[in-house]
Amino acid sequence: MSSDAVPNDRPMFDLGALAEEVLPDDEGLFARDVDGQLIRVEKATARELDESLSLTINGETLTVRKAVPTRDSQGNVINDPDGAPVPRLTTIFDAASRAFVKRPGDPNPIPTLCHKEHLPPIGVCRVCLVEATEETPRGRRSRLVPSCVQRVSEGMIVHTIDSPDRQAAARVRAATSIVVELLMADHLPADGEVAPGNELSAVAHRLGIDQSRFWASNAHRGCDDSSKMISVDHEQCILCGRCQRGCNWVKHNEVIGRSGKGYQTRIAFDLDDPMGHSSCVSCGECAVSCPTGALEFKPTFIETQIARLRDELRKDGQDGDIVTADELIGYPLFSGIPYKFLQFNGAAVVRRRLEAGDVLCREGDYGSTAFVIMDGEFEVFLSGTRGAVRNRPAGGFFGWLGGLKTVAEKVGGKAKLADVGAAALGENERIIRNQDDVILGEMTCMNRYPRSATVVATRPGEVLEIKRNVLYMLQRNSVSRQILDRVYRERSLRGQLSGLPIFRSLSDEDKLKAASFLRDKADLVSVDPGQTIFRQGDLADHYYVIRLGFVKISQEDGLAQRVLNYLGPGNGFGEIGLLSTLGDRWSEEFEDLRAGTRTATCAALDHVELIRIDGDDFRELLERFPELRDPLIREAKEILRRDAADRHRLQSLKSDDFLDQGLYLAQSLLVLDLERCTRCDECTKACADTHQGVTRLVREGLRFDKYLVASSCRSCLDPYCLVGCPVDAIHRNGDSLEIEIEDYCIGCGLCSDNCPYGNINMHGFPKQEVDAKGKLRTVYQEIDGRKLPVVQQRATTCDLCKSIDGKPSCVYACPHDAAFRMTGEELLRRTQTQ
Amino acid sequence: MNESYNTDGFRTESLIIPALHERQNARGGYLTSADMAAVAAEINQPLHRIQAVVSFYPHFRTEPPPKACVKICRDMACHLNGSVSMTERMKAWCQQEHGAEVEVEGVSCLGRCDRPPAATINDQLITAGDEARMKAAITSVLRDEDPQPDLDWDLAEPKVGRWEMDCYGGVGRYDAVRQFLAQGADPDVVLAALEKANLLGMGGAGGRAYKKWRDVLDATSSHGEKFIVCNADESEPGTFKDREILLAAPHLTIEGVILAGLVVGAKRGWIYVRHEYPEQIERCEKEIRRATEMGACGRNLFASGRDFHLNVFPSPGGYICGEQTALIEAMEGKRAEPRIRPPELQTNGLYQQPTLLSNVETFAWVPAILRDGGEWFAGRGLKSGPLAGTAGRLVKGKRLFSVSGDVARPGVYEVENGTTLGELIDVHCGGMKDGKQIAAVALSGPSGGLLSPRVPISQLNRRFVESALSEELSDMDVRDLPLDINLARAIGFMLGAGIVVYGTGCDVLAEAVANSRFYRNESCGKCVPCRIGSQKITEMGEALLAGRVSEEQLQSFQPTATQLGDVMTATSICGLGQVAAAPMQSILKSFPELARQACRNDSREAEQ
Repeated sequence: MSSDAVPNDRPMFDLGALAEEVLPDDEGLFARDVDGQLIRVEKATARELDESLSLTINGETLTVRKAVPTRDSQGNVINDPDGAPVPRLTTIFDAASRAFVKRPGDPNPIPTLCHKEHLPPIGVCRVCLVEATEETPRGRRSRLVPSCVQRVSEGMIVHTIDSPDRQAAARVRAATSIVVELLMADHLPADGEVAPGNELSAVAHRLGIDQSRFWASNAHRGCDDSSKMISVDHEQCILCGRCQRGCNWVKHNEVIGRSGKGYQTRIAFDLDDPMGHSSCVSCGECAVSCPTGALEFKPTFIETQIARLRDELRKDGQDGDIVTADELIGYPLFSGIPYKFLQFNGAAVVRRRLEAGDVLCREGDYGSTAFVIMDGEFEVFLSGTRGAVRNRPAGGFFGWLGGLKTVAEKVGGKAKLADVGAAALGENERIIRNQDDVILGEMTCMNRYPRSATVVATRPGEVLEIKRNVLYMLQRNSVSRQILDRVYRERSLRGQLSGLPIFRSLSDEDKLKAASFLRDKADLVSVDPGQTIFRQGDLADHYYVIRLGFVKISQEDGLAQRVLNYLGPGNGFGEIGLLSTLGDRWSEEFEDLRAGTRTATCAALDHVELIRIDGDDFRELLERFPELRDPLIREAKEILRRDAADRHRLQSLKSDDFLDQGLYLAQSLLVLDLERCTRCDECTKACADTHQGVTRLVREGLRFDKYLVASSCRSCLDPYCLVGCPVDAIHRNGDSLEIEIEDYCIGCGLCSDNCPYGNINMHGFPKQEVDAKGKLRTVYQEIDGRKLPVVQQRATTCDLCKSIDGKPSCVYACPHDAAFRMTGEELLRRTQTQ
Repeated sequence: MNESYNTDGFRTESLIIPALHERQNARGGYLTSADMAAVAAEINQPLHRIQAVVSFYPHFRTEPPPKACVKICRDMACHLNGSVSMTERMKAWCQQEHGAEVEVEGVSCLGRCDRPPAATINDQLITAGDEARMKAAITSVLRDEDPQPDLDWDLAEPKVGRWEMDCYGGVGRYDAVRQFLAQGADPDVVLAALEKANLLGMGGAGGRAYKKWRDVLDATSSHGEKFIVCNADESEPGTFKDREILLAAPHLTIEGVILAGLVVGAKRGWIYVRHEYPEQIERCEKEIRRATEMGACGRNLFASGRDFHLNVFPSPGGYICGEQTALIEAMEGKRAEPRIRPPELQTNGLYQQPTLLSNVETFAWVPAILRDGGEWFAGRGLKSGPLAGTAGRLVKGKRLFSVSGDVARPGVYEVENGTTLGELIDVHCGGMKDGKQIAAVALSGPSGGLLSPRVPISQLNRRFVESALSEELSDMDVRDLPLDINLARAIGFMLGAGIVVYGTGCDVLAEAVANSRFYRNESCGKCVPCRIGSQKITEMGEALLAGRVSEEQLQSFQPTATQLGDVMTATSICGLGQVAAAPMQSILKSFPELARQACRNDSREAEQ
């Protein structure tokens, strides 16, 4: 057939029908709604968290919410400051997680590489492909879509690589396999040496691919060894963007981007600078995020960390060996934590072997570690005789604020200790026996309160001493969390409940019965610092008991917020709102209240662990134990009366600044008496002279009457600055007050940002390194032909230095006797007596 | 996140490219680290964002430029005319004669396929491939003399007022804008005309224009703004029709854009022009000024109280910017990495606001359609013909094709839809060059692969073959294919605006490998199937071309390449990755004998 052979007037083909049905199809699947309108994608709303739709995945029809709460890297819901979950639109991957991942650790039927649920999805690796089918007015349309990005829509039909529809599964598997083989050809080490945790090789294994059909890459992408901590191997980098999102989105460091284009694209630091010369603060998030060996902690870094810890241990005369990541990952408790995180925190876990009589920790000490019991038997001592630690209204300043201070109280018998909260200490018991996976010392480790008990080994035993970063991970990681919660439920939940203050009126026997009643109904929940648990005026639906941390109870009074109380471990709250709904007789007693609503706002002051009991169960408890009612009502009324009285008193005190400015937490304020102070600045000079020429105090700040509170570390009771340091370089040691910043501070500035009072400053110091001979030397770089020291930022803060007479230099140096160090309470007393 | 906004309410991110551009000009054609850090500080963006942008776009340099920078096109018609070997010779000559003063590099299609091989010296056009002329031009530039560049205007001038598209005969009057505003500014009137005309998108996808306009009209915006973007980033090898429209009839495109703005309710628009089109950028800016003076653009259009502000946005470069979502990313000051769709641009476009993005030619047809009516346009198009048959009634309108390669008169032709390839070549292009026969044809730049002179029916749409073929045929003549996008879809071949004809005597395999390299070079690198897949399939082609594949190896090679291509098509984020395997796949499908033959050749030199 040629054009000459065909007469132009004779139609050869009947194309009409066909051309009409083949319409231009330049739109993605699910672009339009049922009415044919294009769907505009906007931020998910809170309402969508409750709206649902159904879809079919692998033949199972599922009902899912239109939006899911955003979660952090350990699967915990991220809340906004009001305590409401932050919603994001549900994707196919989310729906599959919901339906098929029943327990932490179960595999999702969809493999992924570039996607992690805590990161905003970017859909670039195409490993999470699924076949999605849409019923359109023009018929069914099916397409491979990236499940991490594709939002769910009503009636969607999805097949994954594991679908029982064999043909669909084969199509998805064939496409996914090609993509994985492409990645393998370029990014798996040619020698087959794959480090543990390499997700690319795990995905290949899951798909049953031994070898890529494609020729290995001969592109030489190179390595970057400039960072002391992390090695960069561009050969292994699959450009999944997880490090980028970890750096910029999770940590807000904004260092990692992409450089180049197409096949030459690489990850890059700043202006494609060597990592070690970039503005990287070595927080480690990129390496922890990396699914391959592209970003790895250097063995030398890990060794240095371990060596430093070993020196420290030796200096302190302690024994104990350092537990490596490879060993830890083998323990079920640690198995769910990313391997590289454990590597990064290589010196964060020490095994301690104890002989009979060895002290594990001492009451009153500060510390930054907790203990996981592996084996042994321990006895718990409290100051003085046996007693319980309870938050009791203490005298003076703390008296009217409510019991913040943890004081030992001799009540005999039960040890309701936050620090041994997870241990099963029953009635009149103080021995912890062979309870593996029980953690001691959480309270001190997480929230930096002094140790509340002394724990002594009664026979040889073994514990893992863990640092805060690791404990935080244990509490957050779903696999670890499950183990810890199970242990807690089995061993100590009942004991903790039976000691609740509201049960005081019950007989010992009934206390246990009541506790047993509640035990099975309790939820265990974590609350982040600052997060609201409930708000004044909300409907009351739960009763709470604090396991760990402090809860701030406050009331809105017009525009001002008043803190009514701080409750610590062992206390319950939330009963008043529940009491006011218990029928007429009860609500009459609280005539000023709206029945069933919260009378105050409760928020976590720090990391808080709660036992949560449903309102209905709480009411049923009161039905079963009627003798609980009267004392409860009496107490509730007393609290409400006191609140009202306080309201008036507080207003007359004008001490808002004391609350707002956190002065009540201060243990060591630098106070200048302005009637004596001549502004000679000797204090500042003395500080600079003592600290390499850089002052750590600024003679400015809040004024109270004739007193000026200068900007200098206050040694807060609850130091916010200690929260989150990526290298654990800031802490409080032993029983001393001062905040210490180690010289291995990486200068990330987090503590400085965290300090609400501006008392931690970042300063540039010449960077120093240990050379081959073990001597400290300054590191130089060449800029425009000039040799200049490399400047490294470090955080500095008041170290309460001691001068000749034992006072800090600033106080000692004052020629006019105008400088003092005092607690917040003391300052308030002084201003009040004026 | 680091989000800050400028006075227009846009993220300052979008200032990255203009700010870098300014610094680069001030520095004399390149950027230092200090420049980049200064830009970062100025607009409050982290350094990595600056690096991401500078390293992505060919427009930015981080080394001082040589005195003469020579860029020679290495694609399609230029490749066919020996541009690659010419580049090697020029490199050697420049190295010898001028050393570091001259830099010679091969670049992707410059859009001057009708005068191959095309080159630029310091962004000035030198065509017609005469090496002596090129050397003379380089010498002139080095001596600070005028290199006497070629101009696009020379080719465009004869077309002024000649196209049926140009209802004004060469000088725009903006009657359609005036009329729209005078007659109640009813969007439905315009949409009805576009629907009747069945005007399809001319940028490749061929979506229905009225539908897109309707979608943007119906879409809601979060702060009341909608945008119009005209895609003049014409970078598909073999395609250069927009180049001519923007010179010979820019008023049509501009009027189309203004009308679109009025219809959908947008107050701002941009014409995004590839930076290799300096004459067009200048011409558009001039015409926008003229329209503004006439009252057809800017504030208070024809005293109606309505505004529409139009600007030219010169692209920082790269074929990928022509992909609609990548173009929007570029305008937002990011790497031009395509977005995953849905959502579509009509709802979530520039700054996540409803955006109407269309090709230069799509906008350009609007004034004529509004003047002469939708029926007039729909009435054009060949209703009969060898393959149109009963589908003739569906063939509507006219369009411009860019034709290059081995035809006697390459150029831009306005023809009726449904015209056959044979007629286009013979009637419009003056037949084949030097009496050659067709060896292969690319009907959509490189993206549809290469068709053989006789297309086996096994490659066509099975439903078409089963339902429409009236007799037993094993193949059909490529010249009989009707050039209409709907028919092309029904029959099963790809049709774009750039047609390249390869005559007998050319090395079809080498041409296909060159086309494959083009996609590899232009991949943005965002998604795996395209980034790595385009590299692997190109490597396979190069191995075959170099005679490094045995016939036995070809047995396993063939299914792997085919499957890779299918997966790239099914899983790549954007059109580039979806077609990147087409050149090599078409060799295996349409020219299997060439592949087998290549296996028998002893190490043929693979060209770079």
